Amino acid sequence: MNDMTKAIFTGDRCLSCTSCMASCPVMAAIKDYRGPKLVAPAHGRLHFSQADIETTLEFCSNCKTCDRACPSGVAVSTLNMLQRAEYYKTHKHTRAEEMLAHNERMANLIRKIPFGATFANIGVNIGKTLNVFDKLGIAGERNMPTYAATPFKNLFRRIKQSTSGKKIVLFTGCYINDNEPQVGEAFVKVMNANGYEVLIDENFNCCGSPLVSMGFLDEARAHAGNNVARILDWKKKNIPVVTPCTSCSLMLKAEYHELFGEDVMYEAAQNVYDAFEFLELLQERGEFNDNLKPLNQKFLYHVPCHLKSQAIGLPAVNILEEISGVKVQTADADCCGIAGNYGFRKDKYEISMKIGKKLFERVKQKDFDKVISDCGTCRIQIHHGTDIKPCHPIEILAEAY
Amino acid sequence: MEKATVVIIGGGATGLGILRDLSMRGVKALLIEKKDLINGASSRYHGLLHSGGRYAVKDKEAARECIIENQILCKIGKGCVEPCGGMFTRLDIDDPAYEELWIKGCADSGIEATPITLDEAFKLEPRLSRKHVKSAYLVPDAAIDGFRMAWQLIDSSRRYGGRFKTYTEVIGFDTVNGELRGVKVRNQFTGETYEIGCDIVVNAAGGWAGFIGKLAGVEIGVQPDKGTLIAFNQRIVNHVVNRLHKSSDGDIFVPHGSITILGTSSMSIPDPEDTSTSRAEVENLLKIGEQTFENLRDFRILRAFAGSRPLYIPPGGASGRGASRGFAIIDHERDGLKGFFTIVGGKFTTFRLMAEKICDQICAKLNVTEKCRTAEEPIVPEVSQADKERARKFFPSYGTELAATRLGVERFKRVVERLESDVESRELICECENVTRAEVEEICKEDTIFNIDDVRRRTRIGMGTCQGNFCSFRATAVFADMGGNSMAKDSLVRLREFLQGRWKGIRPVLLGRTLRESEMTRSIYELSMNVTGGEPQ
Amino acid sequence: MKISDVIIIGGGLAGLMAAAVAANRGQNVTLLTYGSGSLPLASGAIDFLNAKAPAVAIKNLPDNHPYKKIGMKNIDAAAKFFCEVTAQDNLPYNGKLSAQIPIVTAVGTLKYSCLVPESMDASNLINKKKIYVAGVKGLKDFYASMLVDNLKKYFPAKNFEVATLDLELLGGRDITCMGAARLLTGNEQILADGLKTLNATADDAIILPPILSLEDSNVKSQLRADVIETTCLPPSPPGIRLQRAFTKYLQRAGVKVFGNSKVIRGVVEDKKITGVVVKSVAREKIFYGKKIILATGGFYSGGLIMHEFDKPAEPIFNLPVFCRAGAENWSNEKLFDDKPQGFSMTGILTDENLNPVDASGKIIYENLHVVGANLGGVDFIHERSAGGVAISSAYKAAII
Ligand SMILES: Cc1cc2nc3c(=O)[nH]c(=O)nc-3n(C[C@H](O)[C@H](O)[C@H](O)COP(=O)(O)OP(=O)(O)OC[C@H]3O[C@@H](n4cnc5c(N)ncnc54)[C@H](O)[C@@H]3O)c2cc1C
Ligand SMILES: Cc1cc2nc3c(=O)[nH]c(=O)nc-3n(C[C@H](O)[C@H](O)[C@H](O)COP(=O)(O)OP(=O)(O)OC[C@H]3O[C@@H](n4cnc5c(N)ncnc54)[C@H](O)[C@@H]3O)c2cc1C
Ligand code: SF4
Ligand code: SF4
Repeated sequence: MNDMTKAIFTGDRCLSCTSCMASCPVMAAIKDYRGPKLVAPAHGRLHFSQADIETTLEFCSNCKTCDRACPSGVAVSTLNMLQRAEYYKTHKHTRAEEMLAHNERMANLIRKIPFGATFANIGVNIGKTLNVFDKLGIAGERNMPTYAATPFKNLFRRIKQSTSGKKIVLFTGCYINDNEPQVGEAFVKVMNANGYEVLIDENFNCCGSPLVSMGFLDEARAHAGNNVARILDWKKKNIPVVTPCTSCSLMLKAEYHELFGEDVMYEAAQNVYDAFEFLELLQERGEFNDNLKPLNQKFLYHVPCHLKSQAIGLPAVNILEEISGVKVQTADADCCGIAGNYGFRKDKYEISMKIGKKLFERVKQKDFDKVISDCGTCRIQIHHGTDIKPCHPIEILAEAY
Repeated sequence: MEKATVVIIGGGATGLGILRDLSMRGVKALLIEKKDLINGASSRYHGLLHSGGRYAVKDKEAARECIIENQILCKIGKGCVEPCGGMFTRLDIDDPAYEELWIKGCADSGIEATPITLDEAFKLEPRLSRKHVKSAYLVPDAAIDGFRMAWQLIDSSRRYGGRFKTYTEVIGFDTVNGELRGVKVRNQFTGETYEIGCDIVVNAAGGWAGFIGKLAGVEIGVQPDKGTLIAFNQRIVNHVVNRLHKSSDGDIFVPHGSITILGTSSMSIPDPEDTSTSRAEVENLLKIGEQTFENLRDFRILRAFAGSRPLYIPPGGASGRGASRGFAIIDHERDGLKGFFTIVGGKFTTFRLMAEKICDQICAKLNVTEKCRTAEEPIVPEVSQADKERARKFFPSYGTELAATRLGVERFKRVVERLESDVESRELICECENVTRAEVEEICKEDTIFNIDDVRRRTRIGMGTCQGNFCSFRATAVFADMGGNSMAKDSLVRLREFLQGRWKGIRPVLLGRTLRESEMTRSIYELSMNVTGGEPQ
Repeated sequence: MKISDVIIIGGGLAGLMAAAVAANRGQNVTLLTYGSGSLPLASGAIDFLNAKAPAVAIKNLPDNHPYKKIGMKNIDAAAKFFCEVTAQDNLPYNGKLSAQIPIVTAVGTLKYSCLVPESMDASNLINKKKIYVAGVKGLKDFYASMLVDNLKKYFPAKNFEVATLDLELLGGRDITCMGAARLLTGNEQILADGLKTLNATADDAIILPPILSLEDSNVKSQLRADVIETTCLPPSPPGIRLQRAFTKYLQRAGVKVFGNSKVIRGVVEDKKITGVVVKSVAREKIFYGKKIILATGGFYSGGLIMHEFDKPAEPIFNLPVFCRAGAENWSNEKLFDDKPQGFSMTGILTDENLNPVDASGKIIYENLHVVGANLGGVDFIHERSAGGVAISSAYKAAII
């Protein structure tokens, strides 16, 4: 790979055109954030002069809307995250940040206690009532995602699959593993229906997305190192890694390389697929199982920001519309506002809800049967903002098999 | 009639250095500059505070001067000098025998040249060509900002009673019986001409020194020698990076704040007013530059610019790169003109020394016994840490340090007070270089500001990524509001002339991303703003 | 494998228009674009030509001018369709091709254009008794006194008054016009109330920066005086409104719009393009289509590139690019000149059907049509035809 594709070099491409400033959802919600152009590329040019920190950088949610608006290919949000990490070299993380960045650690901890998940869920609710969240700096208004009694990895062992020459590895991602194992089950069902045997690699870490957005870059780098090595191992065996979580897939496919700039990361990326991207490729090759039960339903599809960034079109729409009777309407209401762990922070909660307003209003029109979205936190946000519980599009597809 | 003991012609580093030196010694001096200060080579230059390494083989005398002045300026001119250090790199295509000569030359001239391994070199300068670079040394080169140095010198001079006039051209002399009595000048805006009486005139007109000589009827061997430079949008290098070979074109990269300057070339020209640059010159510089940095063409170029070295050619001497970079002081009493001095040649690096030498001669003439103190006293007091802390609260990040050195203690204090009291003044007029409205307002109010370029030279507006696409509109409006003269109100003319000035340096590099920027410039100012005020035909 | 009827590359004004026209004709359209194009920067007005009556002047243009290839009928139809699209989003445009409408610019000059957002139409200024110029506390990029100084030159006899509104913008970052418009979207009453305090009558006009709500502004309807927005430094709310109006139209029409999707090359079969390849993260993705419209813009948007002097390129299909080679032809000494800038004339030459042609006039790809700012041979900025050529070329390409 050419050096110049690494994020840090892309700052030089900035024309100062302000397109990113016109698109950043946080800027539309509040007056405090100075905006992408004035933080990432500008800082890149000027940081030599002193070690000053751009204090308003904390408002960036890493939603990547700016990157998509930029006509010059500046990796604006990644530059922001690199700077955020720089900031935390000399500043301490708050407890909320610690907690929100390490969902993997927290879940493991909870599971070690007998009946941990049940307790955790109770604890989460009690915590909320007693304002423990508030004190931790986590938005008290939020319901913590409930922890599933059995993580998907354990559930998975019980799923009976027939062996097949065609295999894929499922990268579950934390949210599916700990909170919504049913998405993982749906995924397995879909892949099995398409003749694939699903494998799980217990040695994968969290993709690191929450770590990056909270400024734990060194830890994220360690995760990347491990995951990339694992992915390359599978690549050697010609087994692709597939994930239904769009933030995970973006991280594995693009952000590792952007952030850390190692060639192996780019190499590994080529063995990673978003779930529907993979299915669409099967379809293109004529290998997609289109023996689908009709399903007379209309879906409102909220396209996650991190899917938009992948430039793979909307494979979920394409595939779901193979089901006879299914209609998918995109919500076209921009960012949902939660941006991973951003909207869980007490001081960002309101911003996140303001950003999501447009989407909530669209959802509340209720001119559909179900809301779907590929991203776990987008689903949390929609549920929280509208009281309507969305599901993952793969669950719909699974229903049709 | 206006009077001064000494009139200095030329507001370059040399003239300003003399003004400061004389003022510190209590001599009433007045500097006359035909345009804005540092209109000549002192801003149209490379900004390398030489360690002397470049002259270590050819001219050990110059090399020694450089290293001594380098150390002095690092001490007295903190705010203007970026002590980034320098690196000499020999490429595979360069003569290894020269390296030996150079090492010896440095040792002889007192320049510390530390050999480093290639690994170290690549760590320090990751973009160096791994293919071509064969050896590397560290030297105490630094970057020196001509603009900030000029404002500091003028502030220092003013404190000691020194005066100056800009946009005032010297057009003749008043002599009586071979003795100088005064200079004739013309106000560039009003066309008004008048005389200034004086005992001594110093011709420090750089490349124009020969023309000034002609006005006075004396022959001066000065050859304007044009050098072209390109400014890149970012810091490509962390150190001054020199090619370790016989000095040639395009072989030095100097990091300056947010940008990098690559240069230069050498071409004898008849008139130093010629600051044109061409595609061919740019192409030539890039070709040479990419030998050291293979990816050079991937970096955004902001503009090209050129200035003229005032090379002194003693009767029968060589010109161009062959000419000495040393300086000469001529007392024209030898030509039958008493009270007329010329100082030419030299380098920016040695301006203080040059000033000291000529001021010693002038003071002897004037029977002033005061000794030169310019080497000991910091040019301007440093802005206090406390004021900087105050500024940081309101100032956009990373700009505080730069603004402090640009503005100096008093202006900075006023700007900070304004930032504290007026929220609106905190907005950025120039987003690329982080210049606040408070700072632009402070500068616009000064009586030496007649156009937006004058504001630019003092603040760096318009010198960054967008090359004025955004700030020129804002600065024009602020100047229209705050400017103390009638030119300020002519906002559309000011705006167009400023953008035209930016355009001049962009044309020779109008390719790649610069093309995109220029399409934007035209769209904003012709389509959205219709700044020409054109009506449908 | 899904095959679209039309694939449009580029989501600037030309691409959006082409997609809207094609979708309106019942075609299955896919639009691939990356970055947000030049609309967020643009004034929002659609210039047709620097002439008192563009409709007449267009007829007198040389035959090789894009307008001549598009034809007057299509140009008229494009303007009409454009106004329909914007009207559907409650973003009415005024004007016609036979005359020019004045707009007040941010510096206080007048700019003339054929299709102008109603909120910017300054035709009536001449009839107004008093002109208020409303600045806003804490708003960057609007300088009322400079604007008045320059505007007075057009209306020396008129009574101007500068007012400053407080819309509670102070206290955070710098707020540009776009920033204000976004913050006021959905909270516009404070602006309406502020303007009411001026007590302007129906005989007066209020000039203000373009900060009205990005959607469904109702400020105008609350005031008796005319409310006139100026142009501004980018980002430009009127440009964004226009972009949104088209985007919504495309959503309703079922066009598949994929952002962040940079097309890197075509899939070529003989003289046809059967698909285009998008550089998605980690791999490439092919979109198949029967007809391809290239609306990738000029140098600004990367529809054209030039890394070496005199060697411009069209980066997707490597089409031949017209260029005025040589330093002396490339740019004029004056930035603002009375002749076109050579570099801005760079672009792709086409035949009547907007099919790209080589120097000898031979068609390169039969099902590829070129529209908008990447067309060559003319300096659209100099002749003030950028928007007009964009929408009318798009219209023609979409109906062929
Ligand atoms: C391309 C280039 C790169 C260089 N790089 C370096 C470097 O890296 N390091 C270094 O140390 N040196 C460098 N130099 C050399 C250095 O810039 C010059 O030696 C130094 O700036 C000369 O200063 P000066 O004051 O003598 O002349 P100038 O700066 O040229 O000043 C002369 C002034 O006289 C004024 N003037 C002319 N005629 C009249 C008149 N009739 N009335 C009133 N005023 C008049 C002019 O407007 C001008 O402002 C470089 C020079 C060039 C050209
Ligand atoms: C500041 C400004 C002010 C203006 N004011 C006016 C005005 O007052 N009146 C007027 O008539 N016009 C004005 N314009 C001009 C007008 O907006 C544009 O010229 C016109 O919209 C051209 O549109 P376009 O669609 O051809 O190109 P663009 O708007 O540049 O759009 C091209 C699109 O194609 C995309 N693209 C490029 N390459 C690829 C690729 N490989 N794959 C996918 N997508 C690609 C780009 O990202 C971009 O989104 C102004 C423009 C600017 C910048
Ligand atoms: S990542 Fe999102 S929040 Fe951050 S600057 Fe970009 S658009 Fe704004
Ligand atoms: S959109 Fe890209 S080019 Fe434009 S200002 Fe932002 S980072 Fe710079």
